[in-house]
Formats: sequence, structure tokens, C-alpha cells
Amino acid sequence: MIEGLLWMALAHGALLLASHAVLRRIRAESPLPNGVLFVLIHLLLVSGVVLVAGMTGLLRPRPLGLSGAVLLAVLLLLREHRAIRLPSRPDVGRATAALAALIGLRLLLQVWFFAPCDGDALSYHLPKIAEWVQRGAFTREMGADYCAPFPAGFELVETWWVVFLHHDVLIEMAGVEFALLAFLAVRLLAAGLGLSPRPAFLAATLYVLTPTFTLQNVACLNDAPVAALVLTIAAFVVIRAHPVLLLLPLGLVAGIKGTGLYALPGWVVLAILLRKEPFARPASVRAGMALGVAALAVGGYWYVRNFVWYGSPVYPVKSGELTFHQQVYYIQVGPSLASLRYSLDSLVSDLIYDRQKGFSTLGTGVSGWGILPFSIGAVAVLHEIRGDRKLRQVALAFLISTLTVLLMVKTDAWFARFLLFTPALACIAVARLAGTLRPVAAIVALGAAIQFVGTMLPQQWPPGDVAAMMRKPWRTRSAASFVDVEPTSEPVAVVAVRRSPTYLMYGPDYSRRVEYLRDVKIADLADELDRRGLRLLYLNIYQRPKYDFEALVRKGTFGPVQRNYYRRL
Amino acid sequence: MVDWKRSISRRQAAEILTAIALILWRIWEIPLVNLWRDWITILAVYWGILIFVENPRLRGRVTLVSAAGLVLLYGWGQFPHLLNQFGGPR
Repeated sequence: MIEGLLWMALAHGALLLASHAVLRRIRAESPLPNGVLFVLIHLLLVSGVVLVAGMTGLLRPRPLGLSGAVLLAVLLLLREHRAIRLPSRPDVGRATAALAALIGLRLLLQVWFFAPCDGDALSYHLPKIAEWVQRGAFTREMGADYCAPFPAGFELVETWWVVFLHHDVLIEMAGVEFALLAFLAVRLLAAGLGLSPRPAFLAATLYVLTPTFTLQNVACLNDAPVAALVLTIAAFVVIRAHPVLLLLPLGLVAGIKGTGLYALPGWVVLAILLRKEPFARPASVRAGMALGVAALAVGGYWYVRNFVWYGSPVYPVKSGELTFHQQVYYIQVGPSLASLRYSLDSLVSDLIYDRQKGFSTLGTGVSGWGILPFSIGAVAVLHEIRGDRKLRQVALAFLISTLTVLLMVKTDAWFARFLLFTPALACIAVARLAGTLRPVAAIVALGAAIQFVGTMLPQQWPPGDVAAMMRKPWRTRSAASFVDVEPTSEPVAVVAVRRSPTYLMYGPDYSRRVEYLRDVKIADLADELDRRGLRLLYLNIYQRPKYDFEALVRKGTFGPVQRNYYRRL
Repeated sequence: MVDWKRSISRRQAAEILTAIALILWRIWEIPLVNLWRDWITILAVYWGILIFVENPRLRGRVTLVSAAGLVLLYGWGQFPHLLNQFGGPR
């Protein structure tokens, strides 16, 4: 662990200093976008390093740490550290500063005390990270889930936080970096709309408190990172950043989730509306272009890989005939007016009230936007857009982006998580209104307090279970006891066509062997386990194969252990 | 306060028509008895008032009352879940 910490410090230090060195070459004349640019460059470098290390089999602490040490030495020799200029102290009100500090502190505590517990993360986002870290390289094996081949740009950043310690205690830090990006992007967007530093800071702080967004920051889900990058694109369009800089968030978001691209039409319309304003040129357009191309390459990697492996760049999204299992997890292909209509109606007639359920990481049955955008935020948008042309144009862009996302995703209980960027407009309007109507501050304080308290824990699990997980020692902290069952230390064979939290089987230190069995007939299952030297089986199937397996249990070939676990007898 | 005799600009006319369209849409979509607690309807009515009220003080009051009403409406649905987080009644 100590050695891992050393390599981690060297590698992280090297990439932070390298990010600053790159920023110096493309920084804009105005200091405002530089914070956003720094985080974007850092995310790009982290993604690129993990991508290259994964492809070359060097995804291990020592090679990464040694490379970091060399890079750090070179940068220090070049005196890059002498050029570091810390950002000046932001002009921010006392109450806003206290709230921002509380949110930041809470995020760090949540990183430490939470273990991944969201179903989607445990089933298809994280098992591939466990495989990569165990093998020290990218693997064809990514877990049993149908959605495992989706682009994994966010998983690259998560891998960066687990590979050195060979442990997932800090995995949620990846989400925290995207929360910082979202904060800076909303602040930039607000500044681009003419807000002075204080209200711009307030808008950004309120946005980070958006319930589903803030819970996703520490839940290993990628909708919040997508929202952060979508808002970065919006901010860059509003401040008329040079188009080459737009390639950075565009490439990164493409590599995380396609839903980020569904929001693009709004920003294209906004760019057209603002076309008469001149572009803010970076220090070097050529360096900016190189970075943009690198971001597109990092983001595009998954589409090329899926084309090579599965014959389709957007696999597993497909049209045409679907198997029963594919229909269960059907992913909409192309635009659908029916989806737009049903989702919009569901959003404004039901989900927006957040009344069906508590706040959860996926936002099931709620919009997860919180009380601020619903109440003073919505009122403030109407109040403020009437007197400000640019804000009207931005509001139109937000509306178009929201509608185009709804047009492209199917209606279900979770679709609102694709709209996590939308509440940013309300937060900016609130901050603007608070400047002219002082009593608004009371409603904002009440709303912020409610959203803060309501997002202490993900509410899809009983609070007692989450608290028990948080009390565990960090080395063994896992959500296994309440999400599924605590696995034993022996290797496990997995046969699953249903969504299964297989990440838990690896253990928080990735020490357990997990083997996925595919295309094995139930009748041959016992022989297959014997051949592989495995005794423990995790089974999560349905229909006829399940009945066939139950016959094997009755025959005494397998015996039940607990829930979906069976032992070869 | 409200000057009913003043002429209405084209932009204001467009705003009024949009607000009316939103209310008609909600009348079409949801039962009439639920209209008073419909988010879109409340916002559309608020928008309509904004168009006609020019007095900043009155406009501010209307804004605060609308926001407070929406806070109550939201709280009615979400607070039980919030309390449940701390083991309170559902």
C-alpha cells in the first residue's frame, strides 16, 4: 500500500504539472476559462495515459509511477513549477463560501465512506475496471452484462484512482473531479451571461447541489460527468471560445456516453445566434487543435474498438430483430416523437415534483432536480429572461437541448438522469434574481438546506444499511451485504443474463477471481466448473434454463448457498 | 399597479399567447381539479402576471409568493421521503 501511495503521488503530481504546462500553451486572454481548461486538460491526460497503459499492458502501479517520476523530473528540470500561478482568491459571499466548503468537504467524506452501491455501476460500469486492474491491461472480458461494451471514458478516470492502491476506496474521486468541472463550467456560463463573480459563484454552488447530480458524483455513474461536459460546451459557446477548444469537451463526452451528444443541437443553435460576437482566441490555435484531436481520439477509441470487436461502433445499440434479453434492456435507436411526448409529459406532470421516491443515484421515479429549480429557479428563469436577450437565447438553447435528449432516449423511470445539465439555467437565473430581489436569499437558503440534507445518502437503500457499510473498516468496505450477499474469498463462476452486481464479487481490493461462463448449457455446467476447478457458482438467469438448473439442484449436483449462490457438490 | 388601457407590444402579445397556450395544454392534459397544483399552470399564470405588472415592488411580491407556493407544493410530495432518510414516517 505504501509503495502504491508513492507511485500514486508521483504519477498524479506529474499529470497535474503537465496539465498546467499544456494550459500555458493554450490559455485564453481572459483568465475566466482557464480553470475549466485546466480540468479538461487534466481529464484528457489521465484518460490518455490510462488508455495507452491499458493497451500496452502497463496498467500497473510501478510502470505508471515510474513514468510519472520521469515526466515529473523533466518538467521540474524545465522549471515548469516556476510558472505556476495559483488562481486569485475568488470574490464570493460568506454564506456562499460556507456552503461551497460544506459541499466540498461532504464530497470528500462521501468518497471515503461510500463504496460503490448503484446497480448499474456494479453490473456493467465497474466489472471492466476490476478486470483491467487484475490483469494490468485492457481485457476482452468486461463482465456479463449486456451494456458492458458501452463507451468507458469515465471508467478510464476511475481506473486512475484505483490502479495504484489496487483498491477502490478512492474510486469516487473521479466523479469529484467532474463535479469541480461542472462548478467551473456553470460559473463560466454565468459570467458569460454577465453575472458578476459573486452571483456566478452562487449559481455554480447551487448547481452542484442538484440532488441526482451530487449523488452521482460519488456513485460511479456517468450521467453527472456527461452533464459537466455538456455545461462546459454550453459555457464555451456562450463565451465564444475558439472552436478548437470545443473539441476538448466534445471528444471527452463522446467517450463517456452518447447522451451528451444528443444535447448538441441546442448549443449549435446558440452558436448561430451568437455568431456576430468574435471568437476568443487561445494563445496557440495549433496547440488547441492538437489537444482537440487528442480528445476526439480518446473519445472515439470505444467506437473503433466496438466496430472491430462487434462490427458496429455503437454496439450494443442496434435496430432490427432483438432477442428477448435485448428487448428487456432495449436502447432506443434514433429519434422518436413518441418518446419525446411521453417523456416530456412524465417530466412536467410527475417527475419534476420529486414526489414518488427519495433522491437516488439513478433518479428513479423523480427528476432529481430538487426544490430550487422547481420553485424559485423556475420563477427566476421567467423573471430574468424577459429583460435579457442573451439569457433568452441561452434559455432557448437549454430548451432545445432538453427536448432533443428526450427525443433520443426511451421513456422509462430513469430518463431524467440524462437531463442533469438542465437545472443549471435555473441556478443561474436564481443567482441573478437574488441580486435584485433580496428576500429571494431566504428561499435559496431554505432550498439549499433541503437539498443538502436530502442528499446525505442515496435513498434507494435503507439508511441503516448504508450506515453499516460506512462503519466498516476501509479495507473491507463494500456494499455486498445489502446489495447482494457477502462473497466468500474463493473464486466464483458467473452465469448471468439478468442484471447482476458482479463487481462486488471481486472485493474492494480486486483480490477475488471471477470467471464468466457464456454459452454453457445448463446440463454441461457441472462439467465446466470441474474443468475450471471452480466450486462456487453465481446464477442469475430466467425462463427455461432456470428450471433446468433447479432440476440439477434437486438431483444434488448443486446445493444452494445463499440467494443466487450455489455450490458444486 | 396594472395599467389595463396601455397598448400591448408584439412581444407582449406573443408572451400572452404562449402563456395561454401553456394553460390550455395543461387543461387538455390533466384533470381540472388538479390544475391549481400543476407546476406549468402556476408558472404560466405567474408569467401572465409579469407581463401586466410593471411596478417593481408588486412584481417582487408576486415572484416571492409564487416561489413560496411552489416550495410548499414541492415539499408536500418530497418531504416524507426526506424524513424517511432519517428513519422518519413515510
